[in-house]
Amino acid sequence: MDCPRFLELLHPWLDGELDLVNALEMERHSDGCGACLAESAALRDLKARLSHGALAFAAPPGLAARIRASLPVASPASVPPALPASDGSGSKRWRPWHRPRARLGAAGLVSALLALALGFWAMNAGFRRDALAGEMVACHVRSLQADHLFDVASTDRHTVKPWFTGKLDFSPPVADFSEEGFPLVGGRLEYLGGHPVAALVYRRHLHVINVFCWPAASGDNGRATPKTLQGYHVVFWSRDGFRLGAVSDLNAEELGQFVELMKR
Amino acid sequence: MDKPNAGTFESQVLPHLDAAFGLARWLVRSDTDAEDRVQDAYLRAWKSFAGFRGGDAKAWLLAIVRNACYTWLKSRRLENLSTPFDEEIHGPWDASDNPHARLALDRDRQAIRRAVEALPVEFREVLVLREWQGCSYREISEIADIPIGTVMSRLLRARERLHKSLARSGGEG
Repeated sequence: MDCPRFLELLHPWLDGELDLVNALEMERHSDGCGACLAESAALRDLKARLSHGALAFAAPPGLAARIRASLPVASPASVPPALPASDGSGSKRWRPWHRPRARLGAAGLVSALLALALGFWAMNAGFRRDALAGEMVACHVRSLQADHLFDVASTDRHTVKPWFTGKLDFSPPVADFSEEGFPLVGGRLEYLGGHPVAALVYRRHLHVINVFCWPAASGDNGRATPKTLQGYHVVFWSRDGFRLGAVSDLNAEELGQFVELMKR
Repeated sequence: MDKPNAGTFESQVLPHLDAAFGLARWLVRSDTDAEDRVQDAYLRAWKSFAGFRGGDAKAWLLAIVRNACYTWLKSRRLENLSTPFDEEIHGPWDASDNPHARLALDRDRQAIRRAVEALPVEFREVLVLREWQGCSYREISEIADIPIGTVMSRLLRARERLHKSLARSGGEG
């Protein structure tokens, strides 16, 4: 190694950026060259003076608290309620309708109203699903922020599924996909569109996937395009009379794989 | 490290507050301005955290802090066009600095801090990232968005300038 090459590599050397072979050559050269040894000593000295602890700046006390306070928190009140009772069956849409049959004279009027309502439903389906997706994202964010990811923490579907019994008037489909890389980690109750729903929590590496599940309403064809809201992906699907929606910051492709597993 | 988003933001991004403040403080050269820039950067980081795909959270945050500082410095430079820049007033010795903290540093540290603060911001940035943040050349190149060759040449020139100005101030004292 010659002197120009030594000076060229001097800074990377003392910054720890050289590989072992070059570092050894640097040492060997400076051992035999007074001028280069002086150069390296000067740089070592400068670096040592800079590394004095008193020169480093630490964040002032209270800054962390001010930053925490300034971060916006997704508030449940900021999301409009989804799933309005626009299909005419009232707010308890998924309960069996036991009402006595209306008189024949009224039946025509009822069916006309129903047709009108269904038309309205279809027209508004897109808007309502957007609102629902927004509410689901808010639920997802809140579950992570408030440290309330699950009411029942278990990777065992035979623990999670019975937990919902008595808390909901339906039994959500619960499966574990640990082998596929999406382990079930728990479940909790959520409130979406004015109804209690089941929230199943899955993980993919460090990402959390919240799956919301509720009985499908009549007239809901289950088709909905995946959405991205505030950076979260939202996917809806239907299965065995249930409507399901998954929310996660996982990339769309892996979330798609997960949804395919859930559909099986 | 368990939860993404709010929980992960707390555990992955907030711990780098000292590094964030340190970089901002060296770049904008005043405590209060640095605090504002860091708060601004954290808000930006929070908003784009969903797009953060793992990796080095510190480097990711420092890049945001760096950009927030540069944006602010640029806006200040435009303001300064109307008033002539006076090194005595606007120089390294910012009025908002804590005098007690200054006194705590001995003469050598004061000379070093003054010399570093007098460096052009492009040089100051690479030097601070290397010496006080312990960033590798690759990390600096990512944070400052410059090629590694530029990192090396700026670091070299920053140290040459620093060495010269310290020799000068040492000769005076």
